[in-house]
Amino acid sequence: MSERFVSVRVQGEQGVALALQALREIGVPRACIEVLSDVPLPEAVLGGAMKATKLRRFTFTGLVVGLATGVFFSIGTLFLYPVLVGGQPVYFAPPNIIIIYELTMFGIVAATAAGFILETRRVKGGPRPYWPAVSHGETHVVVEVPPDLVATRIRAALLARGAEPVEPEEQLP
Amino acid sequence: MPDPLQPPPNWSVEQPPAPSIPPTEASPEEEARALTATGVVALPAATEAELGTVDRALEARVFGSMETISIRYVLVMMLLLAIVGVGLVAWGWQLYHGIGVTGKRRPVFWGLYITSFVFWIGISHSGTLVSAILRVLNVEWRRPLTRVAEAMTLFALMIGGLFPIIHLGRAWRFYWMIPIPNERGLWPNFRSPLMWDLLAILTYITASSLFLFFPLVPDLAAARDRSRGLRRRLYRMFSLGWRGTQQQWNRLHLGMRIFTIVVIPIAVSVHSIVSWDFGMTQLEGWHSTVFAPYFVIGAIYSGVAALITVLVVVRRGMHFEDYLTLRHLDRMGKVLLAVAAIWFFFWWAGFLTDWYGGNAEAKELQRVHAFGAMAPLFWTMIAVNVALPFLTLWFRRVRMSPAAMLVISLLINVGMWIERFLIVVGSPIRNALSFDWGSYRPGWPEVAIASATVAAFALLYLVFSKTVPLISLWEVKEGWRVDRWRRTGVIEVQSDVPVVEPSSAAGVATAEVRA
Repeated sequence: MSERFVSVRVQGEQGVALALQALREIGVPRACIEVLSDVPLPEAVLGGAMKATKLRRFTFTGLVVGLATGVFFSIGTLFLYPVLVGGQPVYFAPPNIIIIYELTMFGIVAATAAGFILETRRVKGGPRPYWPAVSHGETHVVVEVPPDLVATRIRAALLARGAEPVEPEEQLP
Repeated sequence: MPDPLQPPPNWSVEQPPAPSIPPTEASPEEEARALTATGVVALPAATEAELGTVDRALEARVFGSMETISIRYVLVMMLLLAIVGVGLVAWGWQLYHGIGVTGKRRPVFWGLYITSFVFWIGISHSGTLVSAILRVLNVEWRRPLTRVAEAMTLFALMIGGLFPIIHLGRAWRFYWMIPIPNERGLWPNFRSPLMWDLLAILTYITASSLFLFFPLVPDLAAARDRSRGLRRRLYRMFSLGWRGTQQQWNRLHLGMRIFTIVVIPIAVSVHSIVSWDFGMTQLEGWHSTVFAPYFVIGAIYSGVAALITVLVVVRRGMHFEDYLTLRHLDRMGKVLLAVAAIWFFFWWAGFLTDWYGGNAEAKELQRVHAFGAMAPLFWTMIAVNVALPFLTLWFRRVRMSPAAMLVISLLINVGMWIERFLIVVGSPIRNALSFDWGSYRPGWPEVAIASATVAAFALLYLVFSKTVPLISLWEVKEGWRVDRWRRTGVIEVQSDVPVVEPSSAAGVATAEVRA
């Protein structure tokens, strides 16, 4: 069975830049590369933005759902259960604006959080290699071997740029 | 010929071929990106090693403080638990005998409980708000103190949110506030400011919890990777499978940007709505159009003071002197002074307008406050909320003194609690019906419960301090690198932003912040 992942340890941002350059040169697609570090690296080191996130879509969905819920609670229920008080309208705008505002904000917050948690926990293709040392300063590059390349070639290209081979210590989603 | 399997001894000597140099008309950021991606820009390897040293020192300090429990800690916990226990007994007493055991009588129906509610919601303001504003402005010195502030917000909200339930008397009927239809067709009355309160606090506590939790995830992963047993299982669950991939960092940054933008208007709305609990009535002293901004700035005032108190205690108690530096206190002192001035402006605007207007009820209210039964409280408030900050915080020496800042911040919060008391209790005692004038004396359950909540806040904070890193490790580490990235041109240079410079003397981390 062929290797699914090639993992190496690199030294700092310079090591990351060199490893990514090596991978680009042999034609490894960007989507197959992961750089693990204990701090976020700037795009300049990575040579551009990494895989896009769908978090904004969650946020926008939350906004729409929150707004709809706010409108339903504050306006819909008034007509579902009208309380008729002499001289007072069934519908009244100012307090409803507050309810709609708060529920819209709640929708944004809840949906963004849900999106963050879902995207972080659910990784396509199942668990992936991990090293506890990453949390404490090591930087690792993990390559999911693409179908048209072999692991040995990827590994050789990385080692030629100063990376050190490592074996995964555990798997995380 | 160097060994291709080994990194060169000094990256800076490796020069790439000329064609990879980007055109000169590109922006500095584009240039940096292109240069670094092709290996043209060499980052100094020595600095990487230095940063590794200070990173390890930071982790050792923060995790060390989490993993050790001193006798003093245990004694303080026991004392706080005892006070909370007395508060719980008092609440049980109130539930059994009814709300009559409190001092709430005509004309004062909102006594110590609502005073404490407003006070704690105010305290909750500053943590998240200060953190969010500093994040929006990309202020570098925020990094070590954001989590201390955000945790304060969450615990203050949890405590504050209890008071309306305690105040209800029949606390088990709280669920009537939840918007669920029932067979009688009774939905909550969305016209009621109490309903606005519920939704606003619910939204704020959700947003504040997540605002605290999101940047905590990488640090929980770090804690997971160095712990065992039950702790490890818990950290593993809450770290959401964090591996530190750049996609995850990217998502975290985006999530924080969204939250930072959303949480500021939420925070402002919460205390505005709390102020409208009062402002929507016809009572003199409450019915005021300036109440919303006045309450918001009052909340920020008491919150900043509380944050300084917590900073001083955490700094000393957990030995974070290298990270929560005197310069942080200095800057927070300046913020406190500025907020004190704004708060005084709003207070004075309301006071002067009432006095000059000559309305009989307003003048009587002012007389009772300044020269009547409330005078000691009123003048204490003026002394500690107005005179104290203006006489002390102008001086850098005071702002740089943890002991002085602790005393000042505590006194300001005493003053802010009195200010809330004067509003909540001091207004209805002189209402529009002179035959209904009266006074208020809290019952023992009110005093016990209000005191217990202060202990509960401290208790929650103590437990939190042993559970998660109180300093955001990755943000501090990132801050140190941001400085280097700016110097090497990897990211855009912002010359107006203070630089965080890690200096390593004999391997000891000293995170001094210099402007």
